[in-house]
Amino acid sequence: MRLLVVEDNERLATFVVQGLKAAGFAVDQVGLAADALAALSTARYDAVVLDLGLPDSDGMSVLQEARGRGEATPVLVLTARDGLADRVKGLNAGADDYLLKPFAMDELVARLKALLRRPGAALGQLLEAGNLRLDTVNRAVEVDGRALLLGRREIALLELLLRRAGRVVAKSALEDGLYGFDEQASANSVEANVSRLRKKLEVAGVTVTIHTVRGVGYLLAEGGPVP
Amino acid sequence: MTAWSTSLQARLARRLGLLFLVVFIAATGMLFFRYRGGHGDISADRQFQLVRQVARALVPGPDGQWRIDLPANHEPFDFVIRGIDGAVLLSSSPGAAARLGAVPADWGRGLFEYRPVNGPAMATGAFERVATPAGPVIVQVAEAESRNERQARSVAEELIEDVAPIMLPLVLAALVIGVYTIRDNLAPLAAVAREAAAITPSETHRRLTERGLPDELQPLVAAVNGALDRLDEGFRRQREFTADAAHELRTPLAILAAHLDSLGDGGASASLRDDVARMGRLVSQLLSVAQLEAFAVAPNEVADLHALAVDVAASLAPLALQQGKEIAVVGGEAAVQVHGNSESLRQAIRNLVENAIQHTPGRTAVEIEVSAAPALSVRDHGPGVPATLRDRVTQRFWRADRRKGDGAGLGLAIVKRIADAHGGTLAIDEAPGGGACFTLRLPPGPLA
Repeated sequence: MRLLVVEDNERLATFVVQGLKAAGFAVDQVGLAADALAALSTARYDAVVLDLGLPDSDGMSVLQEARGRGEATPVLVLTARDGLADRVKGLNAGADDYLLKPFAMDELVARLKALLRRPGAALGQLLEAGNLRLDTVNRAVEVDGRALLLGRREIALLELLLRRAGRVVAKSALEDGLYGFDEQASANSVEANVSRLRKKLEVAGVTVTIHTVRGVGYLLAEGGPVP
Repeated sequence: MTAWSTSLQARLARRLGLLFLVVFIAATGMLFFRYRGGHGDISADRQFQLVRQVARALVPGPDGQWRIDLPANHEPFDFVIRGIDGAVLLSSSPGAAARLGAVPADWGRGLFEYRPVNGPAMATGAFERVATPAGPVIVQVAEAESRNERQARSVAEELIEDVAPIMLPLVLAALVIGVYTIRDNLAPLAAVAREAAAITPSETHRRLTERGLPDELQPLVAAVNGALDRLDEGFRRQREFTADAAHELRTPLAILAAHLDSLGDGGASASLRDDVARMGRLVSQLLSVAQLEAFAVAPNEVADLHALAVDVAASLAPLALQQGKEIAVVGGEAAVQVHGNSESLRQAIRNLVENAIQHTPGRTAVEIEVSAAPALSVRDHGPGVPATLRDRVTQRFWRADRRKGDGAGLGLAIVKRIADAHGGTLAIDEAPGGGACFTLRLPPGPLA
């Protein structure tokens, strides 16, 4: 996995590059907007970490120019600006995620992995959480290396939850993902599927839990249920 | 300067000047017509009245002796009755005929001059040829008063009869015009006062209207506007400084956090990482406070409270689950539209939910309920807020226990400010079954 870090503060850049390398990424770092655009046009990156405050130009214009060229690489924006409108502006300009300074390295790594897990991204094939592993191409699930037999809808459900592991997936998003336009999702079929999946995972001894966030959706996280 | 000055004095002078001009023309016209009608000579008028009074009272005696039946309390005047030949038939006193002198018998009527008893100047009397059953006689009359006294009397009577009908309406009209002009000219002042009353720290861009004000008041209003400009500039600089300072603090904090992360989990780095995260939150809150000082909801902004509640619940659920707590959005699933700014409302709801997560014990849930009121309430299962502290928890930098370093005490102050900026309210109550319940009430949106 090759990342481009665009950050002009040398000390911060050093620590970020060091942290990302420790997490197993190959990292290139530049400090200027012009260098960032040059790097993007010469090498192929799996994701970009982009600071918005650059000495020669605004990071937002780098983002717009890259997107204008058809650059589809996921971009995570780092920013010191978190005004009421700043976040909306960044996401509208084509950022895939948004992280406010100061941030924990774990959070940055987790967000980057989430970006890379998205469909089409390089990490998309194999999804892992705890002792659970899902091969999205062969539609196979393993717990501690042992195969676990699940229904087609249960695998689709698990994939949606794993792709956003640690974050809430809205119930409506699960309905859209599980049923096509011609299939009518009955009111509690998502709930029924989740409950079946939970039972099967529990029996198989997984170290992850599917939490219900009432009125919102579901969240898959490592660790046991709320005691 | 315009040709038509807007000064209060000039307007008043112009209007009153116009009034007096109109009255002058009207009065002149009236007097002209009056004198043309033959009533010009005020004293002659009076004399002929006396002549007629004497003529009516004259009684020819059967013996050729003339009598006069005047009322007992008649005004003092002298009269002489003469025959056509000039012979004195009757007189008011023995010396009267000599004092008044003879008059031409063939004139019909006319005026004559004589010297009054104690007057230095000559006076005028009147005579008229009057027909009686005993043939025509000449009645000659002169007032007993001096000329000055008579004129003063005449003038006083003239004033009462002729001038008062003009002067009284004139005085009334002047009053009405004066009052109207002042009221009319000062009416914009009330509007300016309302504008001034509406200026708050969040609306420092407002200025007072100078147009339409009298010249006397414009320098004052311009000076007040100048003062507001300078205050606005000061406010703006302070807000910008706070915002810039908050932004500038983020990069060194990020370096500190990244450095701590590079040290691994040994020693104090875990607790130091928490401290850095807290400082990051404080910086965000300071920035929010600075930005909210100048925040106002645009007139056409609409937000969906239910969607925002779901959004905030989704983003904070991982945090709550880490602490062994839950978040739930309860109540209906329909959109609840309010007139409001989505980003600031999201922040208000987020602060309320973060606060509730902090206070609710483990294994309990923070419940967000959205109702069509429109209102949003966040309840926890913690100790609740004592009634005596409910006003204080929304004050800046207020914390229940300063020894706990949980936050800067800005979260609820920010919620209160956002509620105020929306024309809404933040109520703090005891939830049924224990715990605190914070309710945000907002003005309804266009579809509600």
